[in-house]
Amino acid sequence: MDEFTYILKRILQMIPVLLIVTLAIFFGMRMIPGDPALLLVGNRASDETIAAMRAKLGLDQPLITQYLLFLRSCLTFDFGNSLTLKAPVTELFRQKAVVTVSLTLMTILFAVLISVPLGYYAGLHHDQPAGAVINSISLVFVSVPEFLIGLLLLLVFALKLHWFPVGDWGHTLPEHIRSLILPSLTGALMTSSLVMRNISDNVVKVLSYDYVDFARSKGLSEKRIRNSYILRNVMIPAVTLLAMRMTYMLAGSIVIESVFALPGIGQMMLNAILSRDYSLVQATVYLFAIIVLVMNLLTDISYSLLDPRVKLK
Amino acid sequence: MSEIERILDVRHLKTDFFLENGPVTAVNDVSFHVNKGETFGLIGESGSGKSVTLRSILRLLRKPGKVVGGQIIYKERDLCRLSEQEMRGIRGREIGMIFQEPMTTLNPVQTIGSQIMESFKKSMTKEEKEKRAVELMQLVGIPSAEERLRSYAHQFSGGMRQRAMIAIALASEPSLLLADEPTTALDVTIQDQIIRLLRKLQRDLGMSMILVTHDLGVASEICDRIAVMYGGRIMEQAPAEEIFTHPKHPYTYDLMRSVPSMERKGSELYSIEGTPPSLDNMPAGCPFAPRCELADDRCREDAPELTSVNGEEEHIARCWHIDRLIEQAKYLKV
Repeated sequence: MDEFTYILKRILQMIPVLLIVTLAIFFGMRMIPGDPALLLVGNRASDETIAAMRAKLGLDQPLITQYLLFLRSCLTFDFGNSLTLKAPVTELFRQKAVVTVSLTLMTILFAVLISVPLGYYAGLHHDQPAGAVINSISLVFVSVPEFLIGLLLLLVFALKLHWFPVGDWGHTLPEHIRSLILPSLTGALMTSSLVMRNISDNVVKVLSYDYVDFARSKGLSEKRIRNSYILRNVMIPAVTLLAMRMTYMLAGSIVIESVFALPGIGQMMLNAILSRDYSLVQATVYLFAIIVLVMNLLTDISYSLLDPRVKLK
Repeated sequence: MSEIERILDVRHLKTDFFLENGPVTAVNDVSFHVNKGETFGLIGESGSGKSVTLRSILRLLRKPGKVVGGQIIYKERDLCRLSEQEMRGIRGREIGMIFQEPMTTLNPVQTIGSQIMESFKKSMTKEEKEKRAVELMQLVGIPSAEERLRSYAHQFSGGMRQRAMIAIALASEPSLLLADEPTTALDVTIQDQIIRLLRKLQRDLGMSMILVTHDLGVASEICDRIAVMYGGRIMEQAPAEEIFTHPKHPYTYDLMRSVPSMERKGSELYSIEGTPPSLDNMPAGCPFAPRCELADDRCREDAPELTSVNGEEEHIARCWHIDRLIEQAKYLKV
């Protein structure tokens, strides 16, 4: 019952947050110089043509009316057509979300595959050269910007070695997966460095606790000690960190999708901002915000499932 | 006396810590034995090497510690020579251990029941395991054991955690239990309960025990024989009653004087001046010489050996002035 009230409370708390998001994105977009109508009809159009286009787009109405219309669409999830792409916004979002969500999931997968074994190894050998080398390399990947890593990977593995396509999403599942490998790796490197540091530090901390010695004094096998004593305690903070990074990854998809020319939400949003496609930008940011809030809630719930000391209250 | 079976025989144990500036010796030529069914006490201040001695026995030393010399004979096998695999067969099933701080000794993400049951034989069914776990929890005095099986360490009080830890250590029925300051982190009333529990368990189960403590009161309640450690060496060793009534070493004598007693009520409590020597800066002679009231040039230059007191084999002390101490000790009231 406690859990149910907690989740209900958290969902209710989302309402004011989402309201602020709608305000920020609606008025933020309109503060950027540039007129979508003008962009659509071109510079040389007559004043009448521009005015007609503004009326068609509903931009001639008072701001407050426009905002209330946007709010209504936020409740019904019907955001109308994109100003530039002439297709329903919800449908566009759904199509592009497949790419971005696949990218994020694959990035997480890579991050786990890289960070868990390396972090565990570095933690066990923290006082030896091997551990120090792993930790310094991870520091490099934390400090180098993602787009640079992405460009380097693209240059070497796609342009020189031709192992991976350059900016081709493909049509079949194997093609999709192949085109996601380099971008996922790019996104995973920084996250795995952070998670690896976290795991490595926590391995050192857990090993300093007597419960590992106690487990050994009971004659348990090293495998059992590693799995139920060291890794289980180490993974609790690491999973939380990974879940938090997942929201960063969604936001970071703008950069990565641009570098690798992936047709995802990030790229769509970037184009929409550049062409002042108000309806598309507003809807995308709003839906994005919902995803982030839901994921934050799931993170907290997963934390309480993993750690018996944490209760949802 | 030869009928008494020795369960553990530690001979000339030497444990070093390999630090950056070279090795330092934490346990230096320590020899003692534990008879079947008795409780042997290792007492001394922090840093005297008593906990390192315990960890050396089970080979649970943390880096950079390492046993560099001596033998640890358990049931006719030298533990120092066993492979890691063979050692795992000794840990838990033959020699168990309990620790000082129950909060950090229990796995926070595993139920108490599961931590007890993971020591059981794989051939046991789940029902058998749970039944046995409940029995163990009842044995150490945990109320409503069946419900507590599924509790986590953070849901227990300090004393209950210590009881749970004991139940976990007893799960694989060790013949020898190593207890590393098992009462230090507890309230005085709880301390007393845990000591009584340990004494009862030891008698009922016929277990032998090594108790490491800095608390003379605890040691006097439960130990059959006692060794006093200082600076990594045993300074004096004797049957418990003997050592409390007739301490022969100046350090033991000073330790006894530092304990508040009803008879000396009103007078200022004695405290030993100075601090124990650090491991990397051991005095050339007797380690206690810098703090000893009886120390002379010989003590400072030449380390004494353990010698028997009054020709008694059971009572040995490491001091050049044993004779003078015998005189002094007459005035001690414990």
